[in-house]
Amino acid sequence: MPGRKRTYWDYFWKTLFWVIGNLAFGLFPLIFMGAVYIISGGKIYGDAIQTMIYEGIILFVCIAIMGAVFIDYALSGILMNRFKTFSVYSIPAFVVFLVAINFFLIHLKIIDKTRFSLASSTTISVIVLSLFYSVFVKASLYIFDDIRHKP
Amino acid sequence: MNTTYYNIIMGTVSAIVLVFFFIGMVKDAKEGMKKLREKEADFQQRNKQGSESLLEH
Repeated sequence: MPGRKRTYWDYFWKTLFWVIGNLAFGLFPLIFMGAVYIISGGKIYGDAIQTMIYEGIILFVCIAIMGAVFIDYALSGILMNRFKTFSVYSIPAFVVFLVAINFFLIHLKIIDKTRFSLASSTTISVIVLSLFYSVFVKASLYIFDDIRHKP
Repeated sequence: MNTTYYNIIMGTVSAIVLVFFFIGMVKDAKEGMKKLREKEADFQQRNKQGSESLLEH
């Protein structure tokens, strides 16, 4: 809309749509299997869905989306002070560390695969952190792009 | 018991990291929107000046 001033919420909704779209494509196999599972009344794909979740598909997708946003931000040329650098870099570092340590502990059989179930604290934390991160950092990127491309 | 400790530690670290992140991002968003408004105002000003000078000619 020409002449209308863009607010932060415009960028926020745009980013939310970006994240949801990417999640839908990233999780397409799981969504497809879930749809078939529901339509078939729980007869098809029950075990396959369980296996995919326990192998960490949700964590993979969350990390991939967060990584895409993080790399975009790092390459954007936005000047950052120390505090901003810490706030932008700390979440990916923490999430990657958390997932890596869980994979390692599962491999060593110290914890079992249920750590990656949908209700586990690890999965919930990774989903919450990566979604918040992706939405707010991508919104900042869109604002920066608009500043740069304004005549 | 170990799981409880794990959840407490992880929850605390997640909360701390999120708080730092939000403070940083709020600052960033404020700065960004301020710069955007300045650019928009500058653009409007130049647009107005351009129209006026065109009318004069």
